[in-house]
Amino acid sequence: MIMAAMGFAVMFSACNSQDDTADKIDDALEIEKNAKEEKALKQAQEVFYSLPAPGETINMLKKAGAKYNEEFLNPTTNVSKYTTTRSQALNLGVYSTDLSFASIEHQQQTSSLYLVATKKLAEELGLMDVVSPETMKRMENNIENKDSLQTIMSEILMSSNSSLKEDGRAQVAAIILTGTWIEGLYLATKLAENTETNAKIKELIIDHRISLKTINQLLNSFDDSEDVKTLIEDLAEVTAIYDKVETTSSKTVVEKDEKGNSIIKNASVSTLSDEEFNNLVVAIANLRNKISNN
Amino acid sequence: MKKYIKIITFLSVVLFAPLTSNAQCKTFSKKVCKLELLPYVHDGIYNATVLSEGETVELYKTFYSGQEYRLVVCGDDTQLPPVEFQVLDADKNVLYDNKDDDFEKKWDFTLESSQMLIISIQVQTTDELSDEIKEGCVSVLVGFMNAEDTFDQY
Repeated sequence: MIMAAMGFAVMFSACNSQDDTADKIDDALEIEKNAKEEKALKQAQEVFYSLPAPGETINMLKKAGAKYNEEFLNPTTNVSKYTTTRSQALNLGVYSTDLSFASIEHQQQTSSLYLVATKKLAEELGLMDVVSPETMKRMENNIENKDSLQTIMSEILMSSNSSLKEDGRAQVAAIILTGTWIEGLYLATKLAENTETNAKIKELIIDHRISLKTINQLLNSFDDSEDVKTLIEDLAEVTAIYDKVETTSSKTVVEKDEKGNSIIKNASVSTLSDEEFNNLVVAIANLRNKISNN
Repeated sequence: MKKYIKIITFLSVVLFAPLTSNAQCKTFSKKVCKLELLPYVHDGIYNATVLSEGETVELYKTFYSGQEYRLVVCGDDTQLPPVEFQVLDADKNVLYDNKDDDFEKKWDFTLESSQMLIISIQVQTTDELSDEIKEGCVSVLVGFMNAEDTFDQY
């Protein structure tokens, strides 16, 4: 009996010991997991997602040899159609890009029209502190000077962006930026059709898949907004086509050119079949027409 | 089994009321930081927040080939220790660290291929003994060179 009891005691002790060991292993794993999470927490108190600005995309199109064509812009007469926050925000982004395009090409009369349309939508969105009469005056006085106009527009964008974030309407800022992205991409596809040496423009269009990932990350951070959810759904077709882009991998290194400027070098190449590229062009046109016609 | 409080990773602004307001941060970005961008054109995107010693922030942005960029990361020198920033690729390889450059506030670069880069910013901690944790505005601005201002074309 005593031996049996001792046996049970030994077994019980062994079980307890095994349980203790298992607990210790579990605890150690939990500590490691918490440490990683804590590190992740410490690594970023805040994350910003930044998208191409209207002027940036237009700038790249110009460098790629794109020729201006006013027919591609969203007509300013459409501005009265935009009565919801979503359509106003999206098309504020669209018109901002169109304004950048017109101004960089010294189209003063057109720039003035798009300035008026942009102002109207900014008013509707409650951004008039940002686009004050003084700011409008500055823009009108500098309508012929594309550099000054670009600088003023970037100030407006910066102020709008921060104003909306401070008012708790960061999702509206995200929708505006998405509108600028869509219009920049749409203009790129139209200009690619009309530019003889369009390889660079096509490359730019394919490269926009990278910023689309950022857009989706940004929009997904506002998953409680119905406007944003609808926009994510609208972007789904374009996203699906971009997922078909094939990219070769390559290591990234930084070198200096002969002037001592830093160049980030990565020899990776991204390709999309002609068929899928054409599908992408159609999908982008459909998306842009949907937002500009609503 | 011991129970541990799970640390939930969140992405949000620090919850404590900052001594520096967001409005002051915006003014700092516009009046002080933006000057460092010249002659590059600011992309118009506002990325600024109040950080304390040791805190970090990240910026994810796509940079395009053939475009000349300037990245400016500045902290309020009157309030904060030096601000370190690193530029990383999508695989988190460090491409540039301003710590190796005496905490330079800006970095100019171009890219052979378009890619997303991560700018990771951390406020250094001071060695001073103090009950007060220093905090201040940190701003991240990106500028690009206008087409007509560039002479090197890819």
